[in-house]
Amino acid sequence: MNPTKLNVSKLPCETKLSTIFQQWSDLKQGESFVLINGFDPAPLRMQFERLYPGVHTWEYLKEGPDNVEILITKTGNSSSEVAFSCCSGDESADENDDHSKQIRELDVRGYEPPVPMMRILEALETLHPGCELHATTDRRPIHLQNELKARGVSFESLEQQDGSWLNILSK
Amino acid sequence: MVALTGGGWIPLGFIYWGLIAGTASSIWVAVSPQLLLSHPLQPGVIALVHAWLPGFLLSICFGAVYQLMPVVLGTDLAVRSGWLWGHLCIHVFGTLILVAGFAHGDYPLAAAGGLFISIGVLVFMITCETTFARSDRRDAVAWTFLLAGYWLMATVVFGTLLALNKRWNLIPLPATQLLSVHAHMGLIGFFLTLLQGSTFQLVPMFTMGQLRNAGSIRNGLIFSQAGLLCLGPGIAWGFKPVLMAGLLFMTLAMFFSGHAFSATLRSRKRKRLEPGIKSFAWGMMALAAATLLGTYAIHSGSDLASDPKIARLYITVGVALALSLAILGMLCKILPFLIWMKAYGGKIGKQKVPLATELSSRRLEMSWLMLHTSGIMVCLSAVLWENILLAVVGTLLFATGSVCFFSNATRIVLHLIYPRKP
Repeated sequence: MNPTKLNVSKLPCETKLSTIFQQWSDLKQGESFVLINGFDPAPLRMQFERLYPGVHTWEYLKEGPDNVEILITKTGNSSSEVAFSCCSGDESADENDDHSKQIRELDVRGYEPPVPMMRILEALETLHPGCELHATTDRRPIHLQNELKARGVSFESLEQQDGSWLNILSK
Repeated sequence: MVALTGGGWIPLGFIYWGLIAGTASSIWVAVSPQLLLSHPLQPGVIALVHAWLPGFLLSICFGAVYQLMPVVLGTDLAVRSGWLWGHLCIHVFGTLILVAGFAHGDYPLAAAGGLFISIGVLVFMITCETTFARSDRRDAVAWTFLLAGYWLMATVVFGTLLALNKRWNLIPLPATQLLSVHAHMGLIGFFLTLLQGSTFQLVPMFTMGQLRNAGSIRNGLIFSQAGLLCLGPGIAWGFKPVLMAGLLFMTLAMFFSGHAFSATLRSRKRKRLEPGIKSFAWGMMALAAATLLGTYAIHSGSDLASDPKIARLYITVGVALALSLAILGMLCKILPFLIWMKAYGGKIGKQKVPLATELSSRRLEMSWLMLHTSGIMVCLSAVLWENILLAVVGTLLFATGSVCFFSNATRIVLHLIYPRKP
């Protein structure tokens, strides 16, 4: 049976990731789907590697100038499906909640500005008091920091060894 | 301390003033296309070039730097916003007086305009210097802001002396050679140095690529600075070995920076280039063409006095094509972001907001790019064959392109007054 084709190139950013991960969740072991996007979704690939190591394959079928087609196959059962709930009412695939520490993680590296800022602020709005948001960005988010100051959010930005920045936010 | 330069209004003020000056000067040349074929030292041409450079491109660069420098250096600008508001006011006033002075052949008035601009540039240089000192980033990209600030200061002080020299003969050297030194300090010293840094911040950011070949970026910057130090005295005193060394260094600078730019662009994850990035890339290619043209001019012994056609070609390729494509391309990305921050930044997470890319019209951006590039190509043909009909067509295309760009910018800015409803 031919794998399902999922074209997300026209979808808005805010629904793109949840659509892809919903499709992934619906797959049974050994099943695949073809993801069609307007560009190579490298950050998504990183998220898959981080969230589903060893239980998926990522194969480029087409790398054209206008769109990219990727065959994503579920090769095993994921031991840790992405958990959403603790601090958020919003589902997003690159987020991980650590229930014991009440920490919500968000990796927004590889997105074009101002998408990282949008995703962090959206996540912040659904963050419960007492929880922390750990957001990883490509660079020190100067514009975000000014917005956080204006919203009275406490934050700390720490440069990581790989040159990225870990931003710890709490309400 | 200032958080994001007056909440974003100061960069916006510079950028919009630059766009007004650019659109007005493109209409001016369309109304008087003979300026394109006139001697580069004719007062009308000098006025137009100054409306174009300090008025249009420099204003946009001030706005872009005040917006971009905190991001690059990872710290807020280290001056009070009152100083930057002062810079904006004095710059607008200075450019108006400068252009009016040149247009009427009133050089003391032009010098007064230059003096006002110089005072503003002093504020700019101090801002670059103090912000750089506060930052701990010390790679080539960070250095370009500081070096560009120094070259700009040198350019405007020298330019003011040149205007006074018309009346009091302070520097006993031929005016054409002094003018070339002034032009190279500004064009290569400020604009090229700035592009050698901002390119490697903006292109990876907006193409979802990675900064590649840091060594080449550093070498490109070192060679461009060495080239400038040789070109200045080489042109002023006509000392050929120094001139040739300067040219060699500039060629190496273009090679290294071009190599790093190409590698960075190749690393992009977004395969299709948007009009802004496309324009930026075309501008970089035109810069290489301008370097080749400069090489030819020096080899053939051409200068402003002996061969004004080469000078006109050089100015048209270097300024109207290369710099304007690179700077306006950069603006296609910076302006929507700036307005988006002002109009929607405080609403994110609280209501649905549009993406920054949705603020501009892709159709207007593409129309501008095509009209601007084709217009300059026709203008180059007009200069080459000294044909007034081609000059009329070329300047009309070019001016129409400028109006498209201005319309798109206005459409973006209108989001401040009429934000999109959720």
